[in-house]
Order: sequence, then C-alpha cells, then structure tokens
Amino acid sequence: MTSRRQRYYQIKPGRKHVKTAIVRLVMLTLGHAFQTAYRIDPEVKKEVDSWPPTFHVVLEVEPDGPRMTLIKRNGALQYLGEKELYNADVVIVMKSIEFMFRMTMGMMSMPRIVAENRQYMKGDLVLAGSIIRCMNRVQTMMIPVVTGLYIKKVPPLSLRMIKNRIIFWTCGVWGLVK
Amino acid sequence: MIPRYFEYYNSVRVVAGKHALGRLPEELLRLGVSRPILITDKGVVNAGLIDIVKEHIEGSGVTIGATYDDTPVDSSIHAVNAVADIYRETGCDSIIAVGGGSVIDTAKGVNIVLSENTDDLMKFRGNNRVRAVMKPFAVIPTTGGTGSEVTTAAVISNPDENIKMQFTTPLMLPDFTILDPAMTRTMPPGITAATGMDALTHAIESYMSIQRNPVSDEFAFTAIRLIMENLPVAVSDGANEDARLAIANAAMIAGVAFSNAMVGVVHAVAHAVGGVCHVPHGIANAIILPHGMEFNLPKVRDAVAGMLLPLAGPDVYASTPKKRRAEKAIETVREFAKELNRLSGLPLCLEDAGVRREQLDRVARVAINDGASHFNPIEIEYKDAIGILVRAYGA
Repeated sequence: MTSRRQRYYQIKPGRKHVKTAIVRLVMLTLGHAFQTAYRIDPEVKKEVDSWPPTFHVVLEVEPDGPRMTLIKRNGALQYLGEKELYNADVVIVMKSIEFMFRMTMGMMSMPRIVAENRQYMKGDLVLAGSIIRCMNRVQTMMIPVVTGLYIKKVPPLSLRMIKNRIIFWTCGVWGLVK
Repeated sequence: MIPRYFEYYNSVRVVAGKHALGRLPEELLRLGVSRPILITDKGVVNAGLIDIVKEHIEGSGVTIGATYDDTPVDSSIHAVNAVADIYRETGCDSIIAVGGGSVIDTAKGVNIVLSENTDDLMKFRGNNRVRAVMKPFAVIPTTGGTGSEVTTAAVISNPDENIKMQFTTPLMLPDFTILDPAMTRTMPPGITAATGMDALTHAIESYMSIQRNPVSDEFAFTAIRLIMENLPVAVSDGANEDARLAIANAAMIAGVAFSNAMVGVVHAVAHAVGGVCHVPHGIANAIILPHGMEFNLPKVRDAVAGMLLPLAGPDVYASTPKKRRAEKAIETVREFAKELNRLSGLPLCLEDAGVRREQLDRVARVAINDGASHFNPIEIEYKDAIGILVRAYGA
C-alpha cells in the first residue's frame, strides 16, 4: 500500500547544471570583457569614468547565482569573479537561469529580456542606462557577425573594433588585460 | 499584434463620475479603516478642494486623523519622513493623497516607509524591492494627466544627495482612486492643456513601446480618443464637467496603459528637460511628442499609422492613403498642440518654454540615462537626443 507521501509526491526544484555551467562560463568571459573594454574602448572608458569614483555593479541570476561582480576603483574597472556584495550600487538581477541562458546563447536580446520583465534592477537606476550602453559596447566587442541578436543597435564595424576583438580574444579573455 | 509574451496587471478599484467623492467613506470602511492621513499641497488647499473632500466625509464615521499640506513641488524624502512621523504620532490607519503627481508620489513613498517600518527610503530604490503588505491607500487626483493613481512607480528626490530616486513595485498601487470632475474644475486652462498633453503622451508612447501588449493597446486607443475629443473643450470651458470627467478618465486609462507598457524617448527627453531647465513635465512632453514619434518612425511605422484612427477619427483615417497615415498621425498631433496653443498659450517649442540653447547639451546627456529610454524601440544615443532637442528648440 502506498503511503500518503508517495501518493501525493513532492516536486523538488532540481538544478539546471549544464545551463548554469554555460552561463557561469559566459559571465566569466563577460567580466573579463568589461575589464578589457575599459582599457581599449574609449567609449566604455568614457562611460565608466562618469560613474562615482568607487562603484560596484553586479549581474546575478536568482536565486543563488551565477554572479558577475565588477568594481570601479583607483582608476580601473576590475572583475571580482562571483564575489557577493551586500552594498553594490547597481544590481541587475535575472529572474531565472533559463532566460539568462537564452540571452547568453543569443536566443533573446537584452531589450527583449527587459520588455518581457525577465530581469529587474536594484539601486541607482540613473546609472543603469550608462551600464547598458557599456554592456552593448562590450557585447559588440565580444561577438562578431551576430551582434544584432543581442542588442538593439549594432555600431558600424570599424578597424578599431576589429583590433579590439583580436586583443580581447587573444589576451583579454584570459583576464590578462587589467 | 499579439506579442509572443506579455504581462498585464492593475488592481486599482476606480470610482469615476460626478459626485464620485460621495463614495469615499464607504470605500475606506470597506477596507476596514476609518482614520486616514490626508496628504496634499498648498495649491490644492487654496483651491478649496480639501473642503470638498471634507464635505463628503461629514457624518460618515471617517475621521481625517491628520492633514499634511506642505508637499513640495518635487516630492522629497524629507516630506516623506515628516508625513510618516505624523502618521505614527496621530494613530492614523490609512493614507489618502489629494493632488497631482508630486503629492501622489509622496504618498507612495510614505506608504513604503510605514509598511516596511523603516526610516531609510533609499534602501528600496529600484524595481520590486518592497516586500511588505502596504497600508490602505486611496488617491484623489486633482490634475488630469499624471495617471499616478494607477501606476506602479514613484520618483522622490533626495535633496541632500541631489538625486532623484525611482521606485517601482505593483505593491504601491492604491487600493482605490476616485475621479470626480469637481476636483479638476478649478484647474486653469494652461495647466489643463499641459496635463492633458502629458496623458496623450502616455497613451501614444505606450503604443510605441517594446513592452506594448494587446491590453495596453486598447487602453491607449481609448485614452487618445477621449483626449482628442475632450481636451479642447476642457481647456476652453473649464466648468464643463463632462469634458473634465472625460479627461480625468483618459488620464487614468492612459496611466493603466503606460504602467504596463512603459514609455520611451519622449519621456526620456522630457524628464531631462524638466530636470535641467525646470520646464513643467506636461509642457515638455507636449513639445517633444511629435519629434519623438518621428524619431521612432523607422521602427514602429505601422503602430504610428494605426494611431491615426483615434487621433483623427475614422473619416480622416479612411481617406488617408495607407503609406501616408504615419506622417498624418504626427501632423495631427502637431495641429492639436497648435490648437491648444491658441486656446491656452501652451508653448510649442523649447525656446518658448524658457529653455536656453546652451542647456541642450546637458539635457541630451541626462536624457540618454533616463530609465524610459530602455523601453523605446530604438536605442537613444547622445546624437539622437541632441537631434530631437535641436528640432524641438525652435519648432
């Protein structure tokens, strides 16, 4: 005879290990890309320099990561890995790993993620626009050809952008450009 | 157009019509409260509007526990904390906001402070930070434009740090709102025109937004039609209660539309014009609106063309060739603003609104950081914002 517990069984949330691992890898790459872009892309540098002297930005996936933590301090933008901060100035929170995965795979653009309310922001929303512009530049640097799947308006291809892509995919991706 | 995904939410009970204020005590008692704090400003008091509210609660068993009438033009964290202290000291059990956008935003901030039992509103900046069950909250708008009575957002300034803090959460929605034409009857023609254009901008922008959906589209269409038919009457004949009520309803309906679909480039630029040059929000929207529609045209031509129907009516819509409808819609908005200019002196360009040309650069830089820009169909860069501003400057 089956017990009530077996009959009315529980459904546990489980984990999406593969998607989480892919997102974690992409976030690591994105963190390094931000770090690199600050050094080699004048547009990104200009945006980041307009932020307060010490400034923390976190991109995280609910409920418990992965996470990408960036800090602007001492005239540099540093990637701090998955460090958890309780006093971050701006936190961009993706509501589930599924949609972060879709975004990282180019199946959903950032504007679509915003339009479908798959993310929310905590903190100083005034600087969110600047962060998103940086994100657009960084994604353009990281992703050739299919950039349009990720952002609203793709900047025209330039020699500088090609050079930046080469620097990023040879050195920056390993975190060597700081 | 059915989007592949959308969300819609609005929980506000709307009581609208002539003598609707008579329902105030009943609606409060239905929520189990009888001692609200009344938040308003000096302008509302001087216009005699609080006396109208008082009349309607006489003999009802509802006591106004305290009246705060010092709300500043820009809602501030100091006013929020002051009201919260008064609320606690006087044993109030609910909140009524009687006024325009600033009063309503202040009341929303007070509700966060009281419900979260905090003295630091800063902690709740951003989207969906509030978790507590909110205090019973009612809104009686006295302008026909902001739509704040049905929106999930509030902007409150922190003068100490010189920043404007944005809060969004559906929990901030009032429990009910009362739209009574008696509360907008004394509004002068200039303010009626500007706030009406604010509502029109909400409706039109929600229809162009990347978050538009079939529900918000219907609300937007109705709001546009009501405004086009009634705003000139409300401006030229302020005592016309039918027109006043129609505009109050249109503002609320446009509020429902944009709180679900959001706004875009027009609001991004208008917020910046207001912040840098202190141009009233409705006037800034009225000036920027046709330029914003033109800017978005390459991406949302069909949507703009579709708006010709509520903007100009079925005859004009049917007689305009399909490929000309978008331009005709923008032209109709321009003509409408000109009509309001003749009736009330509504400024038609930034220069007339008192903006100095040297301020445009700063306005453009502020505009591209505005939250509304995230929902615009086209990315807004500095050169786009400055282009819109230059065209709007001496239009």
